[in-house]
Amino acid sequence: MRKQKSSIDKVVKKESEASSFKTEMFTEAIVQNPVLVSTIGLCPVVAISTTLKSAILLSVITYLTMIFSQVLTASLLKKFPQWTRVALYTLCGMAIVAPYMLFMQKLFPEDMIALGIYLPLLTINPLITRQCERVAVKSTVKHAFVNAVSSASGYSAVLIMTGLVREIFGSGKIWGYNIFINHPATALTNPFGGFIIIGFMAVALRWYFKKIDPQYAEELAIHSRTSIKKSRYNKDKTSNEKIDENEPQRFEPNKEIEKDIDKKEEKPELEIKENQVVDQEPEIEKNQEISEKVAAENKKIEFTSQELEELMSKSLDDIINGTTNENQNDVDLGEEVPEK
Amino acid sequence: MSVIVQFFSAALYIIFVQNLVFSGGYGSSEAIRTAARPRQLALFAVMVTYFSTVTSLLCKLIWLIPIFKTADATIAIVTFTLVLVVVYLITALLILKTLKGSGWKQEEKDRLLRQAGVSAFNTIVFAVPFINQRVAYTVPEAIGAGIGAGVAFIIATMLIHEGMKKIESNNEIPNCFKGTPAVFMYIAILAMAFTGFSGKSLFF
Amino acid sequence: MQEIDVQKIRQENKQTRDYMIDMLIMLSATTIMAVFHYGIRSLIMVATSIATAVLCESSIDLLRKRNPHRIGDLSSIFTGAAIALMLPASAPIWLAPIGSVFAIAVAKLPFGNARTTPFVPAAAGFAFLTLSYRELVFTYPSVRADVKGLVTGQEGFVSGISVANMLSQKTSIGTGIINMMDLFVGKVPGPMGASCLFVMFGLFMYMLVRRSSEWITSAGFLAACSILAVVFPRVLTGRSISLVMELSSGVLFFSAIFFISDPITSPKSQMSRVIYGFAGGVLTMIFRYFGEFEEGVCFAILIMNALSSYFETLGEKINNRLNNKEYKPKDKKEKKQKKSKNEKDTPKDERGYSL
Repeated sequence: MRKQKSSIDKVVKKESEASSFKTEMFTEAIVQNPVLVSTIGLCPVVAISTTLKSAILLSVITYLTMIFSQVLTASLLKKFPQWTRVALYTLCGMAIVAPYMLFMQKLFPEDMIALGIYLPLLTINPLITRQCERVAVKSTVKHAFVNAVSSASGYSAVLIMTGLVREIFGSGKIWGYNIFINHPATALTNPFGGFIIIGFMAVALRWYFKKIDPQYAEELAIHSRTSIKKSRYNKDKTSNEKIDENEPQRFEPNKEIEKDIDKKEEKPELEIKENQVVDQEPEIEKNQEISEKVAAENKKIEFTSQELEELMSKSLDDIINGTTNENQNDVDLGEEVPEK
Repeated sequence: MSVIVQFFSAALYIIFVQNLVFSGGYGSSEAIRTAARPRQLALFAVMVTYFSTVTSLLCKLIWLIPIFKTADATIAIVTFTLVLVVVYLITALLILKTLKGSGWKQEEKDRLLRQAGVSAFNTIVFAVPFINQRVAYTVPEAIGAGIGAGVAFIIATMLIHEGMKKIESNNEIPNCFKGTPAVFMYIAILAMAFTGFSGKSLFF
Repeated sequence: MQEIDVQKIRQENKQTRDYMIDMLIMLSATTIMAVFHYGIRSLIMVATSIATAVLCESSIDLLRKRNPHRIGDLSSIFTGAAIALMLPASAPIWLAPIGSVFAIAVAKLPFGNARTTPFVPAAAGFAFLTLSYRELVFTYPSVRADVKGLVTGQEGFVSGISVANMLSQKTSIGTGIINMMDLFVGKVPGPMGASCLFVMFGLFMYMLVRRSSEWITSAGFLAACSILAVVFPRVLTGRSISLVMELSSGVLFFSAIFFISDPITSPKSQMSRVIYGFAGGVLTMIFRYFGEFEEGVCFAILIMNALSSYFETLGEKINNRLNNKEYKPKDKKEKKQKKSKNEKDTPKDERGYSL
């Protein structure tokens, strides 16, 4: 269990050290787009970005809150326990949103009324919590800033696109000026219209991934955040959930395979040693306990080998279609074993 | 009697006529993620209902204090945020205290606290006090709205979960639509059906 | 492998086509009624709507490079025609095509083909039109002789008050205002293909003969609607008039025949179908009584489609209770089967629709 945790730490660290601004922008804004890939912070996108103007107002505040809270987290909040940090992020958001509202009410009074009760809701944008917990807590101030800018631009790009499309087709205007559409479909300004638009945008993004990296697109199709996960609690409690809701999307199949192989090769060796100890007729109870443990482990190993056989017998397609995120290891093993 | 009528009318209004998740869009990302993890639904739903009810009631009671009669939206943000944070911290402390003697592992405690955090700082919980203020609900109506928000969340989650099952068992979905986009489309049509009750989302 | 797939798709297409041909025969009857009342213009509306739907579907076929085109299952023709027939005859020509584009692109394309859609596409299209163009969808023209000459323009129409509109105002209606015969023939303002009760009853009987397993859903739906109409009348002049008016108004009967009975979106067993239809009727009447719009059938149908799997299990439970068996959820059996190895090429779609 410890091994797995540390390996993920390594991966995160590698990402944080090696990334330049450009790669960070690419991974955060496009590859792991907060809305279209990770389905986070849908409420403002779906409900309130109905015009270009409101979308821009919202994206400005997204930038401000993201940068403020991530930089603050990276500099000061690292030592707090996690459950208090979550509350502090909300206070950070409030510290930005309240003055922003006061300021903007003088500049754009009508648009602020149109934003209604949705603007206050940005104080608890889950995107902030996710990015802070995933990145800012473990990284330097500079990296946190870069990360905040990139993920906020991914989010606000979706906001602005949605706002533009809905303003054109939903109210027949661009930035408040009438255009040629006489009978706009006013229903699109409802939340369901937002869902339709982000649905099609997600399709476009998937199509783009398919051109760049077909494997990633395939992974997204099967193991996306919206695919049902079963037996998460029951099977292995030692699974590596670092941050429950916010685990990184992309998994590293090769490393996991290597680890599993290592384990299997190690355990038989252990058995032999323990068996030798047993052979020496131990009188101490501790040794008996150890032997019991070993027997239990043996059973476990046998069970896994049975499972492997089952997996081998199944076709790959079945596994991919039928399994959930939990069973990724199984899928990988299934691929690995025939080579032996 | 009128108290009960007020309570139920507010709750039913928020559950069906203006289903907060579908026709308001509140907490939709949490609903989607919970629908993908059906085992967490019970705990999550209980927590959302608890937080929304308590926050709604406390905010309503605070708003009855005469000082706040002339307050504007900015003060509302500050007070409501503070109330939510205080409620969350007290709840988390209570959880920690009750679990101190019992044999829970550190991981399980962390997981529970994380769940509490996610469900407390959630747009569906935070929207209820603002809705109360906007529609000028009375105290029983505020309680009804709080409980209604939780129930609306549960109903939405179950419907979305059902849709996800249908989508996962469907092989004919075009490649680009598999996964998230198809779920978005499913929710869109479902939300459209719920919007039919009221014609448009009213809580602005 | 591919050849088998092609054969399978052809077979599926044929099954769907068989069902859709029945539906299209029934739709043609209502189209004839629309032409009789409102002239050639209604035919043009239906034709444009169908053309748009077919164009959408075939472009999707081309984009997805499906080899035996799914266009052959005729479902897009049904979708286009149904949406056009639910609109008033005075609606602008472009209205129905928007609905059919929405139906195909949003309610059908993301979920595969006509056999795998979780929602009825035509109902989704009409619901979208209702929400977007409320004035155009619910302003019905009165039926007059001189209207029949109109082909493209819409100036000659005189707006009348539809039955659904009267009902939604909940005021008393003297029997003199509405001639009962007009109601049955469909000579009252209303959707152009759905307001003639005689034709609708005829189609209902046709369905009983041809499609008895789907007919039972419609029967449950109509039973619920009529019971509620009698128990809670929205008219002060009497319960029997309330019954006739509720059934003849709007697109209630039309969607009872064409949408709620759709075998793809409704549950499989007969018992669950009856309950499903009944619940749909209740939900429809709730939409009518408390909803914002005078006609909420399509919204009710969409919600029922989302709930259909719950009704499936409910129907099974009741069936087993009647047969004195213990209820065993299907999922567990499936899981056991999956565990028992060597099940390589089982089809993933467990629902196994029979059209």
